[in-house]
Amino acid sequence: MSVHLTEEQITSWLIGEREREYHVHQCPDCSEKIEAAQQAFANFREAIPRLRPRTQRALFPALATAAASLVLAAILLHHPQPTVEQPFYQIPFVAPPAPYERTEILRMELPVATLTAAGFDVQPYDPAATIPADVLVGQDGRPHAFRFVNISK
Amino acid sequence: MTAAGTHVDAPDFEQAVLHHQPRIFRFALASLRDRDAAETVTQDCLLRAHKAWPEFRGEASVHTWLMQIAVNLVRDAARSRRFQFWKRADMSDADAAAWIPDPALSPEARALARQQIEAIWSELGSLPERQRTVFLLHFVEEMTGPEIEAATGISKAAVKVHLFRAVHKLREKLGDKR
Repeated sequence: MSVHLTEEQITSWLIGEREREYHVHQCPDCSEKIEAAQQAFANFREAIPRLRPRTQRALFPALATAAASLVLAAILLHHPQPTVEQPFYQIPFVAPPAPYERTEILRMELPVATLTAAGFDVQPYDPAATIPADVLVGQDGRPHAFRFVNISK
Repeated sequence: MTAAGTHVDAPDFEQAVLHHQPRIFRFALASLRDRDAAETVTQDCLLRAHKAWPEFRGEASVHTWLMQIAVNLVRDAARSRRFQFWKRADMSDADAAAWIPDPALSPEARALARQQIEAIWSELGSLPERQRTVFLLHFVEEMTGPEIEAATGISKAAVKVHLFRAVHKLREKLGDKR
């Protein structure tokens, strides 16, 4: 058995530059290395459409909730008796979505503790309670608008 | 068919869309690592192709022609996203659990396959843009050297160099996943 292919020669093989073909066909070690890489690349090709970023947008729900909480608190100050399914309020400090941008509505539970921490007097005070709201979130995870949902007090 | 005699074969375009849309999306997704951006690029690519369809003369295959459009759109999209640090930070890894390897494989082989896919996905993200593009066009889209040359505008010799470097780095990354 002649000397094995170098790592560079194996890479060359994989991109179609086939040197020392006779050795590769005779050598289980070299052919196994080549086939293993080819199989890994083939698996990757099959897997791509089903891959998804593990932490995609992990940051944004928290930011969106925090931003929406502050705006909601400001609105609550001026609308002490909100009703069910109000129109959306545009969040003034966020640029509107681009025409091609996809948006989605996320129902969020805004914590009373957050509102209180922002300086608002929520009665009766229950730091564990939350207020439901629909938040319009852009493609990049930023909140653009929100509406109250089923707030009875 | 238009009154001016320009041949616009709508059914053919629809067939091309059906056949190539998944491939364009796959390339865009692997390049940009963001489903929303990949969908946008795919739609833009097909929109541009539809507009240019009457002028398409078949000098390259439909696939090569579409990939040429997609490569440019991906490049533009990547540039426009460069400052979106939050997106970049989010795309460092993939969820290989969403992919089901051949059920005929042993559990160990399936676990290994998933590890390899994660390793390739992770390393691809750190490759220079040209190396990544050439790798994806060759190993994922199974395009030939001349097709890659036509789609990217990169010379034949440079395609080989980029491909060699990309594969070598990926093999190094895969080295401890065998």
